[in-house]
Amino acid sequence: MQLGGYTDRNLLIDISNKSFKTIDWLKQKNDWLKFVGGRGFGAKIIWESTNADTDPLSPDSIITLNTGPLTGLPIPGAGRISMCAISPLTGIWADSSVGGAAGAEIKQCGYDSVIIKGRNKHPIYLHIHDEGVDFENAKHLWGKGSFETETIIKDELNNDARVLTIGPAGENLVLFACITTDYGRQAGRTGMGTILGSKNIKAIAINGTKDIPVTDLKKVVEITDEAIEFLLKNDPERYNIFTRHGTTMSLDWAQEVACLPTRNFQENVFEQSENINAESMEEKIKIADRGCYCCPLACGKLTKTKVNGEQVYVEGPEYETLALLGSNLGLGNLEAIAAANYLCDYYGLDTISTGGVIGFAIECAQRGLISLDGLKAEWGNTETIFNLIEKISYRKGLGKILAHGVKKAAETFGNGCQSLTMHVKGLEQSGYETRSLPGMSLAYGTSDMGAHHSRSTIVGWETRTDRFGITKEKVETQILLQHQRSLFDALGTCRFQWCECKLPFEFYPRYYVATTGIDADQDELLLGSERIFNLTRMINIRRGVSRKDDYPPERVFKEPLPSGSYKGKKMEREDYDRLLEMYYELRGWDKNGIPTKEKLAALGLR
Amino acid sequence: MQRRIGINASKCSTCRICEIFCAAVNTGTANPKKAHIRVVNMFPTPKIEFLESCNLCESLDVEIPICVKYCNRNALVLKEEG
Repeated sequence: MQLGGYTDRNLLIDISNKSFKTIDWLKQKNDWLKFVGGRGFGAKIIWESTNADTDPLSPDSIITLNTGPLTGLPIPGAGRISMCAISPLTGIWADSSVGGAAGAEIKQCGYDSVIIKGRNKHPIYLHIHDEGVDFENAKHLWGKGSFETETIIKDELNNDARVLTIGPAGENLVLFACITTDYGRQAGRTGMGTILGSKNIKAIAINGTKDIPVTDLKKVVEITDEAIEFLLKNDPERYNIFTRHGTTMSLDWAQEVACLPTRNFQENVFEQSENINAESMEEKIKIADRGCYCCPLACGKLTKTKVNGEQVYVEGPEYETLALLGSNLGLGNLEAIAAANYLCDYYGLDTISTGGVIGFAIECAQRGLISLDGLKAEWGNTETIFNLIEKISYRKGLGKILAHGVKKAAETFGNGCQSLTMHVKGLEQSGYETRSLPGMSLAYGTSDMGAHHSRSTIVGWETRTDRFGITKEKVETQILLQHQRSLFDALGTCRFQWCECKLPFEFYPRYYVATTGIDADQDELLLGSERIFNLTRMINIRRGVSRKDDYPPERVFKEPLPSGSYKGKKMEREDYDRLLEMYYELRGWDKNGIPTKEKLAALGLR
Repeated sequence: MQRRIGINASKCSTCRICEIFCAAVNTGTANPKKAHIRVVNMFPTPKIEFLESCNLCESLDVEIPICVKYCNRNALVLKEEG
């Protein structure tokens, strides 16, 4: 019997010979349900379909687009796709989740996951629909920016398709190229756009019309009614601020608690933060709100700015982009940050890695370790920043080296540049500076994809409770957060309603039961999330990851903070080691960070 | 008294909550493509269209049409005139 939430089918597309087939997994349903959906399905597929030597940019590599059981339903933010692959940037497990509405279309085509392998000789775009896949010529789109590509394809198909695109950066195999949908939502991190580029796929248009299977739709609607009422009444001030400003509201907070990355993470407070905060955004550049599928929060902020004298529109900058392309580059001009955001979106670059890479380059140049192709090595210099974005996108001059990300660029530069790289496992660090935050250092160190906050932002808890503590409670909270936050990427819905607007976590097991008819409680779902986390760890271990890779960047241990409330503070290595050892022990991993046989057996993984 | 729904597309966030709940409540399906309203995601301003099949939820026992109820951006506003 088909339960709700799942279509029980995946779609396998081989680009090399333009073929596709449906994989029914109903008979193995129990095997799949253990992994919940979304990033869990991605982990299962990547574990089974890749090995220690899989080259992420070879035709043999795969990229998977995974929906979760809640995707497409009347649930706030439930349009998500978790894209999973081996990252070309880091060489290890990667998942990058995107909002908008494309996830709902995959479900409406009748699939849970889409798996793409192979490489086509010529540029194509895929059109996935109810009956299968059409392979369309994309020669006329090659070289075009993300937004233009989306509009042209929508015009060509003349239907309700949602379109995922790459820009020139993905075509040119910049290792941190992103995938864009709905004119401004990105699967930003880990180079998902690079993988599409390597396969000669310019875009994926998805248009489904089928009913999404759901066990008790009325109940799902009731729960959402209750959720919306809760959001409106429980803490209206918080709700109103978040819907008005989205994640940009975090900028003042990051400045206040001192974790705002500034000038390549050398500092954690930015003297011009008031020029780039939420109020300034609203006053200077915001023109409208943008919400993902079914989401009343509308955290996206559409803004206008100028690029080369022409007026352009861009969804953003959100907090991460304000931090990485703003304070981290010493740039206190909102219009310029929005312009840099626009350029990254147009070329198809991850704004976080781009800000990390350019910050790294400017600092190296300031210290006389490299030259910037004649550009000024100055913080906040828009000519330098805009030029480097273009050079990276087209791999021109210095861009050829920077297109590989900070880790590989530093290896090429040598000359001591490695000590200035801000990354974990090869992924540039996102928007939290951690020398005065042991828990957040651990969050970056132990995230399964590198220095990204999607697995845990314990920084919030840490700054509210015991900032400098090296405690078991902190590590336990960390592990719980890693399971809770990751569960949203498995369920296929957004976490902001919970983590930003305080919707109780208990709503999600209720959604799961109403959707699937499976009587699972919160503990079972969190166990599923833990199982996924251990499987992604095993994927990483198979690719050479171990304890040595679970550390924050060297700067965190070596350079005391030069300014701000925590001036003089740095992370002590022995404190971090204590946290890491507690973490391994609580996870049931050995001292080298490898899950024990007993742990894997208890999770049903071996 | 004539009822109609006023559209202010510049306030629309493109979240499609109107479509999704219209379909769920009026047709009993999780299928926004069956809704009586369409949000076309054009950039930078979306387009909102009502299909001829829309009867302002008259067949339901509700005070205001479902799409208006769920839109919290004031992109859809119920107007009673005459």
